[in-house]
Amino acid sequence: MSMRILHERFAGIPLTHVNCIFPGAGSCLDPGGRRGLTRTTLRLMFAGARGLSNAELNGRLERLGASMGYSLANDHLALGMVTLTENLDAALDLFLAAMHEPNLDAQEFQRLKADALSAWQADREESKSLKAQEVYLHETYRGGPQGYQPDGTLDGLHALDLAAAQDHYRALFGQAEPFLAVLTDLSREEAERRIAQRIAPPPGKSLGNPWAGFQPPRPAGRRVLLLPDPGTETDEIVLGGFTAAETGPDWHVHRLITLLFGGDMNSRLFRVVRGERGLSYGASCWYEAQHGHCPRNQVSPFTLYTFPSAEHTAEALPLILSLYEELVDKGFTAEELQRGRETLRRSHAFLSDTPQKKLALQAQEALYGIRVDDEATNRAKLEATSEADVLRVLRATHDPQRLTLVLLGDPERVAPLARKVPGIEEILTIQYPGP
Amino acid sequence: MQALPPFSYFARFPVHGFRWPNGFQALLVHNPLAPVAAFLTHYTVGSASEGESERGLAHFFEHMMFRETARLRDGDFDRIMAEAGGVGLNASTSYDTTQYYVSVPAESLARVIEVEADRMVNLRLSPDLIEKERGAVLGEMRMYKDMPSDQFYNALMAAAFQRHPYRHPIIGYTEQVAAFGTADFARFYRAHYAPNRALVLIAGGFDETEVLRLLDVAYGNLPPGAPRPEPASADPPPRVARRVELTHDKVSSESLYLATHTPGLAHADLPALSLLASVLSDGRSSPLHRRLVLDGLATSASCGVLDADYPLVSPGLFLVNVSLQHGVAAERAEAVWDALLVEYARDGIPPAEIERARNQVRLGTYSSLQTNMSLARQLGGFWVACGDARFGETLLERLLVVTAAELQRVLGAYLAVPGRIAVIQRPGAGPGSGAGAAAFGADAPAGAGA
Repeated sequence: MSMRILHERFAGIPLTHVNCIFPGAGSCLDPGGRRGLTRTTLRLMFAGARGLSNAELNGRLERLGASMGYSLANDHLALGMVTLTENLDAALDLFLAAMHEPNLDAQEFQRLKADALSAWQADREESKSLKAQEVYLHETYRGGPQGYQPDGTLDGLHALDLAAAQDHYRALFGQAEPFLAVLTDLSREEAERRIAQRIAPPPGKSLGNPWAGFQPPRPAGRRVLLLPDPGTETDEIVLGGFTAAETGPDWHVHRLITLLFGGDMNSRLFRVVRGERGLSYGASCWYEAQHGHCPRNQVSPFTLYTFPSAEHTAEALPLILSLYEELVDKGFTAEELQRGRETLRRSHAFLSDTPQKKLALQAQEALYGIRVDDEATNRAKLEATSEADVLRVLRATHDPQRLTLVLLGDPERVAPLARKVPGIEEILTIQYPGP
Repeated sequence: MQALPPFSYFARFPVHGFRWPNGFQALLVHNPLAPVAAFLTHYTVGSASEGESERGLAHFFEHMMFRETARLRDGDFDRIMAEAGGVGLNASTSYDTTQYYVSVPAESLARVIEVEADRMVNLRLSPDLIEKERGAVLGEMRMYKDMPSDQFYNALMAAAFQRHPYRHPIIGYTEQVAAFGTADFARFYRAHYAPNRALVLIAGGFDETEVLRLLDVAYGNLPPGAPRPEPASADPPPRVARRVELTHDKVSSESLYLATHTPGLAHADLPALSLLASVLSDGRSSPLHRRLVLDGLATSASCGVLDADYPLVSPGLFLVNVSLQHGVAAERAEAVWDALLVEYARDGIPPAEIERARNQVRLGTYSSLQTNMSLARQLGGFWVACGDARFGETLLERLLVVTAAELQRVLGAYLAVPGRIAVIQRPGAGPGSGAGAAAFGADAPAGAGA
């Protein structure tokens, strides 16, 4: 019995990357009140196994020229290992120990919990944008499990205990059939024999799927969330709402919209906010599914972001709203659209220019059923897209009057600015439980 | 043009170098996985090239390179790159170099070469555009001011270097950046942007004959400028310890930097120092990680050699960086470090630790060869720092044969020295957060809609 394997060969680089991917086993499975449990459980798995301590297990692995770890998204996770291919068999044995025989011991758990709490705070002390975008997603999903960050919440981390992590380990891997993604200098046949035939997933049980039947919340107007941060040099503006899924027939139009409105240095947001007015170092937009914040086959929020110098926020806030309104009202000019077509046509090669990216495309198809268009289809779709098509899609999926807006800054300065936003449904001041 | 001796980087990537009579150089790195290429231009100018009244000008100037030239209006450069299918268009300024980079389909290299050569010599520096860009630069500076780690790092470099320009923040000082005028930019452009101050690296799958022809047409006849200035004299390593403490109102736990001076990238001891950094902190089983992180004192602990990490033209620092757990004083980590040095100096370094470090360095090096841009960065960075694009491979070869005795010797010579710099950042009093009306983090049922 062998696990399903996705394989790409990188000849000449003597490394083997093994990722065991578990669809459905994401941080959205964190129980309410224990946000951060999945991540802590994964960290605990790699902190000692088969009776070996953390230092012993990782010492043996690292002497082989290997390391292991995990990546955690809201809707799936991957247990991963990379090793010098010459030591693949021995490294894989230790990786399997972490997967199947983790110690899950109390001392490591307490250390990891303290570590997670300190790191959670430190990350937000360093990055205001992390705080602002965390609040934005949480509020856009109206507190649902889909809108939480994998590193959890301060209260959730405080509430963790060892028994919960041990229980979570026993259940977590039973959500859907896992598969392997392997990047190696070995042939597919050898990877099958030496990797896929040796790996079996840990047991588990179904914990439900919070994404099943998910209906995006739609605000009645503009919800404004004030995130007080006294004395900041720059403020944070994050806004947006649910729009479209990558599985829809118009996704190529949405790619054009993202690119031309805020996808690069030549986009409208960047050009106006930074280039023409010098209000902020950056201004951009994206679909959250493209940033890995939600499954790529679900309707995802379209997000606009800028971080103006504090004295420029009064100008930047109404400007970014009016640029979004103008976009949905008028779309793009023929010249802009032609530029977008050229860019997406010519840059298509970068979707698959390395073995890593080819493997990622295979994994994307396995996870979400999404297959990237080939070069000819991509070109044909772009060439067939008119200004009217863009406007139709914008008006059908975007609504600048119904969105979530997070404004981080000194409360005395930004609160009056927030009250001037037209069409407000409600203004809330967020009591952020961290820095 | 003259062909430079070819080589094969890590026996996998053929590299062909060329030098033109005007001093312009190009390295063509062949990696024919796909018909795309990383295009990277290094200029041998960075913040260490600035005069006392120019702090931050190299970085500000980097921004202006995306504006207008005698041939291109403001916005044209970005538009052309986008239409060429360019991805990841950006630039960065470091201590000794300024890099401009983009990845493009091979079919677009002609256009990229044309506009890159154009902005090397034809930049227009209008007061209006300088003012517009100043807003973005000042915004960037203010963004960094909100990051505690930035102030912490700046304090380290100011303490470690008392004369050498590495002591100044790359981004400069607000008062000077706010005052730079057109004449400052024009002078800087004339002094530092010219074909003999540039190296172009193209890495990927492309037709070398055609690319060489394009480079020759675009760059071959540009007039050379002034030669690269000699680097500033290295600071002598301090003879006594330096200690700096600072507070920040937005941190809740302490952080520690420990630094000692290194002999420079080209010095024979550099491979041993690099391996020693890996011995001490590479991996979860490394002694520093075990004694600080696994023992519950810190959330992270790492060592590095700035000379090779940047890389640097002038001698840099061996650096230890520790983020403490809440409530743990930085002095406890300092004591752990001191005890570790004493132990290793007395007992030597266990062979298993050396084996781990060697294999971890191999793992890291091979991992860094997997994209065209990282290949270009490696080769170009070492070319700027020591004139040897192949240095990354040479460093690995030398590092893998470093002996335990050599490690012990460099530990004594460069780490266990009296002139150590310690910088500690602690939580300090600051303004509190405002009162609110909604608690963040409250759960709602799964799949809730409205």
